[in-house]
Amino acid sequence: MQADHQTISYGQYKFIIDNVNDIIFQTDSLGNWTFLNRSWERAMKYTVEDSLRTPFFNYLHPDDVEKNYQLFLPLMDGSKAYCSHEIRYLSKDQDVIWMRVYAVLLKNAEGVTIGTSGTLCDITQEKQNQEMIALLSNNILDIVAVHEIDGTYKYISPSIFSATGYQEADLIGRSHFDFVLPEDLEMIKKYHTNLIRSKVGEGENVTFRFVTKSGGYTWLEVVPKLIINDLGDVVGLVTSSRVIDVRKKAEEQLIISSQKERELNQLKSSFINMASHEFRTPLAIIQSSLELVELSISASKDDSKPTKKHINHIYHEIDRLNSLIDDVLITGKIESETVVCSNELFDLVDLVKSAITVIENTQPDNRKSTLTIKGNPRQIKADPVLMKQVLYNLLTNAFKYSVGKKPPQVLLSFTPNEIKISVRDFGIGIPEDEGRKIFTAFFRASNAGQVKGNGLGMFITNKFIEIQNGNIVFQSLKGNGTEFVVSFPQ
Amino acid sequence: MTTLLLIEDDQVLRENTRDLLEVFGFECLVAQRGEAGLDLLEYIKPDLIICDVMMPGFDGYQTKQEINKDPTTRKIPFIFLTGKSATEDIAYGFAIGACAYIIKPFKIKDLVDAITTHIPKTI
Repeated sequence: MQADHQTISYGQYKFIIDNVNDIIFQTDSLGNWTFLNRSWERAMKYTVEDSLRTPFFNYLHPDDVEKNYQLFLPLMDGSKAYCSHEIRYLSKDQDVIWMRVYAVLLKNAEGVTIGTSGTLCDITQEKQNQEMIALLSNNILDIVAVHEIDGTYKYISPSIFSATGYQEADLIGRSHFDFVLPEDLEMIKKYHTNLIRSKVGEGENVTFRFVTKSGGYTWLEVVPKLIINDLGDVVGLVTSSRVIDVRKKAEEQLIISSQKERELNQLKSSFINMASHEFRTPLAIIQSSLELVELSISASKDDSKPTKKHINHIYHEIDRLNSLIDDVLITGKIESETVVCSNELFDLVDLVKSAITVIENTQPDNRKSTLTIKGNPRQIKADPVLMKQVLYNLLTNAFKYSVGKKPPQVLLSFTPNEIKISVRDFGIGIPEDEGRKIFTAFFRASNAGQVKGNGLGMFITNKFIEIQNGNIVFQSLKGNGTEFVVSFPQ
Repeated sequence: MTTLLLIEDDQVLRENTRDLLEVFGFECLVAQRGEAGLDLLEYIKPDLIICDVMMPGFDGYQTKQEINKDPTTRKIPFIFLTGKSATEDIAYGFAIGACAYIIKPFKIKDLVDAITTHIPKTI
């Protein structure tokens, strides 16, 4: 080793010294630089030549000059053999450069102090990182914690105070289980055990109630991450927690309101159900009484026209009330999503023909509609009960809104991918600006006038088609008529 | 003469229906409740039973199930005459042995048609 030292030249020393990262310095007893390596230039932007023989305190940050003096005192009065501290310098560009100073006194053979020697290490980046971490952990609302494998707190960010009222020191060294609300403790213990066992880096979020210093609790959502060493063993965990009281409260509120809404809906459904059925008995009484009146009139040979007319009105209104009850019941079922829909193959042509016959038979003006079939008829896969209702509604409307005009036309078309039913009438049509609303419950077009209806027919029709995965569109011109086209992909 | 038993809790409807059925030539016994109808069935076996569903005490479904327990009454044709119109109610009615299910309000002709379809034919 001795031989190696002797063989290193001055040039080699200079190269090594100039290329170490730290600044190596010497000062005289007055504090003037007497030696600086080239690292000084890299950090401070001053040349070594310009800096030598100038006092080192000229390069200190003005605010740190006094502090630096105080830190040097123990070294100068001999109470310490060296000094080590962090201090700010100002570069030639006026940038703040944080230096970690390590200095010792230089003495001559007589023991008289002739200066200092040491190193300056540029720790600006490190300081900036520390400041950033401090800024983050002091200002973010999330709580960051480091735990031992058993849950003991090793570190917790200051944000724990604003969240729970505890200081960091209150938690360090204690288990996080000590702060879990008893009702949630079993769940959290199980979660913790499973997480540690899983050895999977990141665990799923968990929410629980953390007991605050005041004795209440706050809801926390915790995202854990396991610390796994090189051997693959779990040695601890890092958690990031967030206060979610507002969210939890909103969730609870939402649950309560949706429960209330469900209860109200249920109440509404049962009311509609009960009321509708209860309407039927009085209607049955009116109907049967009327039939008895009719019988007694015909027995007494009093078949005067006005009496017959009024009896027919009553019959008609019974039918109308009865279909309103049916529609209200169906609407209730649609709204409570309890409509049962089967998916079976049946003959659509037969169903359309029979629907046309039924509806034609109720027309006082004896109009008969025309049925055209295009393509090769085949069975349709849908619900025959719902489909019958759709056809009844479309045909009833087509006749009802075209009294005095030519009869409605029905077109059935079968293409390879689709089956279409078109019901066209030549009646009053739907005003253009009202078209969007016709599938809404209780909507009646402004030009419906004296034509009776409850505004539920098209709502039900549309829903029944929707439930069967079909589609309904219409074209209408006020005064010219309307065409509804129902299509089912097959 | 064909004898019918009508079980209906509403007095006016019960009497109206009886009167109408009598016009059509049926003899019509009446009961106000399911239980009363069952009591009557101990003594008289009608040719057909017409029964409401929603009634205090035994409802129509329970009444029919009680009737089913007795081999002497089980086979009597049974028609529900009710305001309950849901598909599942109708299906249940048929499932427990009704031969027809008529929804109120009804036309007497429809009820008479159902009766004549289901009364045992006498040679």
